[in-house]
Amino acid sequence: MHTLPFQFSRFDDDHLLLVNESGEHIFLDERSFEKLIQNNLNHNDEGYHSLKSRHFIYSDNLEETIELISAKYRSRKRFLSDFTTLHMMVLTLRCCNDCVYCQVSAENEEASEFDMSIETVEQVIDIIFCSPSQVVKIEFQGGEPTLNWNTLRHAVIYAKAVNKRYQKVLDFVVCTNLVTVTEEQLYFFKDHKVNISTSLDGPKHLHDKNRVLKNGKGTYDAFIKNLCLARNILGADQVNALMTTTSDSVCKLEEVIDEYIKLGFNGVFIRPLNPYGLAVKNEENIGYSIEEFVDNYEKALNLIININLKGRRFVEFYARLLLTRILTPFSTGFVDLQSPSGAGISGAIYDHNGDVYPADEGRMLARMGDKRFYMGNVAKDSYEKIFAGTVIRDMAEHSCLEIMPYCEECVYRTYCGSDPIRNYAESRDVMGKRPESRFCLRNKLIFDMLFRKIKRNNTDEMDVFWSWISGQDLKAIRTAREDA
Amino acid sequence: MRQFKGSSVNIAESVIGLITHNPILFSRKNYILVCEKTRFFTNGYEGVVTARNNDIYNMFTPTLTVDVNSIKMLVDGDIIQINSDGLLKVLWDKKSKSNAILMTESCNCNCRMCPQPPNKHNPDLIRICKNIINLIAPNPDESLIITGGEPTLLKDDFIEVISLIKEKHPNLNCLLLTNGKSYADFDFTKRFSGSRPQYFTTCVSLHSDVDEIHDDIVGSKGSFYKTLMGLYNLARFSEKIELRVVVSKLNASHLESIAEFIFRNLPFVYHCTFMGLEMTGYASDNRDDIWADPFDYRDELSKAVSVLRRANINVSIYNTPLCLIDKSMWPFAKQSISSWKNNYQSICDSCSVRPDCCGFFTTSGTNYSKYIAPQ
Repeated sequence: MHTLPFQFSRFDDDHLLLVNESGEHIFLDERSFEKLIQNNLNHNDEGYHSLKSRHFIYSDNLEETIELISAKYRSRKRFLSDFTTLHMMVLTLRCCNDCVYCQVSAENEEASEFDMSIETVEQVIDIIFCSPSQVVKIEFQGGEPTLNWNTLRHAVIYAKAVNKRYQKVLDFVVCTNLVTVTEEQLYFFKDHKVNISTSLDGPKHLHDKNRVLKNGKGTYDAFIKNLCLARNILGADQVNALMTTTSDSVCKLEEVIDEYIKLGFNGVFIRPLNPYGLAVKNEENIGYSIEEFVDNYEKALNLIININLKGRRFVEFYARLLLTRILTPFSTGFVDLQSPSGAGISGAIYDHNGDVYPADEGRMLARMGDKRFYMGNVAKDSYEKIFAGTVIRDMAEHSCLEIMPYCEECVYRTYCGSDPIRNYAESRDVMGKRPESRFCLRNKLIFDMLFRKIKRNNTDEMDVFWSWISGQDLKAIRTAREDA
Repeated sequence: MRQFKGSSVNIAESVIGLITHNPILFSRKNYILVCEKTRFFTNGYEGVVTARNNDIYNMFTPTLTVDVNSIKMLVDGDIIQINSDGLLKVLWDKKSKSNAILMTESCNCNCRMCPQPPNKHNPDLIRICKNIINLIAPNPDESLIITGGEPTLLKDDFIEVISLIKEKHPNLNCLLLTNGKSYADFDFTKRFSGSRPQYFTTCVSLHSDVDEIHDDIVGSKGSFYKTLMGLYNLARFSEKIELRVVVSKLNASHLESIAEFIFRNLPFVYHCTFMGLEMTGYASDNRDDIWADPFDYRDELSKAVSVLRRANINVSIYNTPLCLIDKSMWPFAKQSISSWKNNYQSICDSCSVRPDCCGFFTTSGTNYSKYIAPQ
């Protein structure tokens, strides 16, 4: 018997958790672990079979074993082979809202010098279609992108015309607060199959605390009115919402979930605050500790599991993402948690003036005067210059968890990812300093919590998780059992 | 396959033909006439099967005389073989929705639960297979099972036979039963993929998730990884793959682990089956080493099925009577035993789910679970 590479960590009083390159995990008792690392586990020993089945050990066939491991490794890193699919463009920095955690540092509604011009948007789209990816997703961001309506409209029509030549799978998403959206605009979205991604922080009293107009008034009522309108026109499944957790909502997540269910959403992404823009400035008022977030996140997850068991399908998207990574051999496309970093490789953002950055956070740093992540400009530079330049290469080199100190030996690293721009923003170092990284601490606590559930292996809970992972109806998974 | 015994006249070499009951056909080539009594001249038929031979009409045609009840079991469209030793074999049963062709009895495994122990290859089997393929006129709902031995061992002959199927019956649904080891050869897999008819499922046996147990079960070291490399090559050509796990004492305790292994390493498979034992051949010789009562492993089987069900991989239970598995698993249990060797016990007469149950292998004799109970 020989061992293959793996990471491990003490999990609880009785067990260690081991995870390897192919994404397999195993809980092992101390005695078996001792035997394993002494290289003297016998094939009659407990644990031997599972360790072998999951590629922690091998006997004779190293070559074939590596073939199996590498097939799974390739599958997990599949997101790399498509290169950039998500292309975000900042159509304007203007916004009617003045949200407490705004990352963007939005400008007021009259500041039209922060609009993307028709000429620039065409140049952006020409660059986007140079991407080798067969799937192109164009996301309109802001500010509030609908405020620069002419450019948005032109972008959709122009991109579709260009795509006649490329024949890619082309999707559009508009990130809008819905506050000022008009019926005419919604019909345009419907006609051109533009999905809506909006923001909802919970019931009125929570939403209106965070998401306010420049005059301080809440936006909830206008949001609800236009959400209904949008759904009527586009269809309920064409509108998705994101929430941001603040100190007001962190211990009231059940109210947020209720609100999402009441409004007919099929799931929620319980998102913590990100350390950018106003969120940093207002941290004292809206922030909370990581432990507080994860504790409440777990409670919320339990509540959501019960809601599913009672017959209402409702997904918590972050848990689904991590569980898919832990429990399946497949790749997952979530730009903010990849190794190497998804920023730049999987997604890129185009500023209103045509400047290109790997992610919104890179753009914001530039606005504050640090152009560290500036990749080029669509008017001046070629696709090759922008996407094969030093910025992306440097980020990729410094964001492979496999070789990053501390991450490299972390038991969860096969399932985790890095966020170099965030690291840089927090520590002036793209590699970051894990021992004090909130990003790291939060993800580790969430992994701990999910692995406790996996170890407990409660049938109901795992059925719900699998219904999210495999996209099947919970009933379909359980029917057979319930008939009994 | 079904077989009868009779007495032969004029049969030198074995004769294969399609059955007809019409004694006055114009075009008689490829046909074997079946009649209770020969009343017309039989010249031109490949052969005659009758209960009463009148040699005024039938002097030279190869003829087999059998009892009248056997005659009644043969229908037009059946393909039979009659031999000089008086044996009549039904090679193609028109009434059955799935018929098998046996390509070889030789094998590169030596499974401890094999119901059809390997034998030296007899080249005549290839001639018979080709004969059958040339004669049949299958309906769209029928399927053809290509079996052995290990059919892929024949390499060129195997490719020739599947090419012939593709040429003659391009839309026929085919299943190949194989241990998959030949596909570890990429070039062979490529040839296979280019030669097969379009509706083709490759059914590969995989009996464990670790090499030492699989290799022990199949009696051949190195088999596990060869089969896995074969499966990877089949996947590279987007072949439709079914996995067959035969459950015995040697793997019954880790079915869940096998299911997890399949999802993790072979998520591209189209269908996965857990199969009960057919207790004949080596299986019956090695009874003490291999027999596992499905009733005793039913919980482990339920777990394994759940793993694949959750992961959205099609899964079935074959050859396992309903009373031996958890009721929640009934939707996965299929009537999987070929009709010619399928029966029920007398205790089953009062069972309410007998019509949905796979029943038993007649070939298993009295080797079945002691927990059989009407539901």
